[in-house]
Amino acid sequence: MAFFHKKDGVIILALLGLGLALLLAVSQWAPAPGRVEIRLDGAVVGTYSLSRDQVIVLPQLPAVTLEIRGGKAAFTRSDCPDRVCIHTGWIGRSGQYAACLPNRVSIWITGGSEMDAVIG
Amino acid sequence: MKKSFSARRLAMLAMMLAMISVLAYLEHLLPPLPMLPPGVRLGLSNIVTLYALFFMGRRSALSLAVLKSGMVLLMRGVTAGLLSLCGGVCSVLVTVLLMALGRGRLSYLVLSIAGAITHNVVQLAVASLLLGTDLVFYYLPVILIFGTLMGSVTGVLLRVVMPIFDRISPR
Repeated sequence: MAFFHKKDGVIILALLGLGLALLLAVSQWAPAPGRVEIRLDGAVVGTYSLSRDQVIVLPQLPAVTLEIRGGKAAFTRSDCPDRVCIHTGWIGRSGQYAACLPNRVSIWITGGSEMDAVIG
Repeated sequence: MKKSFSARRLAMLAMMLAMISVLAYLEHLLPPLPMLPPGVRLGLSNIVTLYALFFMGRRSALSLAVLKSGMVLLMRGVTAGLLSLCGGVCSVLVTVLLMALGRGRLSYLVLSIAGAITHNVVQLAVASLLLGTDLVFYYLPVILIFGTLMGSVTGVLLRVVMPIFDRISPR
């Protein structure tokens, strides 16, 4: 048996091509839509699906605005001094969160198919 | 039953296991690449296992794969050891199968790639089972790409270091 054959290049390119094709296919395949959980003072006060664009204002906090757009959520308006919540930006992956501590409100992304396990 | 026990072979396998352990340890020190599932590495230790499979026989290669898993078990614990065992053994078995099916027409490079891809896929599958997630499908394309690349690197490196192996034991 030989180390290399001339047609090995073809096989390699074919495998790489297949890999790329599958990569594109998998990225188009929409995963189950995630949800965003809004917590006020630690308690969940609302859960919204990330699949519908919407603007959310909690009656308890009229100064804070949350928006869901393009499958992601973010704080877009707040009366807190530092605007850390707004600066967190758009979150959409399971496990991500943004919080406005002065207002004691936070949003958490749940659901969707995500892989965030780390194996040794 | 022919007992072809050879002290020389035993010594050589022991040395190869040592090489495998060092290579596995070294490449584990490298940080994992971002896009890849954690646990996917260069597979440098496979250079040694491949040499065993191609030039010393299936039993030697399988022994090295199993023993390597034992080393991983000692170095990194049960989960890692289990993943290494499943990945390593399946990798060798698939390569053996391809060697038989290919009837000598598949090059070592292609066999190396097949082994690399199999190793990664099986490891990931076992990890998915343990964690109860559907990791496999998402990482399959990435594994195909990187398995091909890394398998090629391993195959080429085997060719490059052949003289070293030859010096230890004539083929």
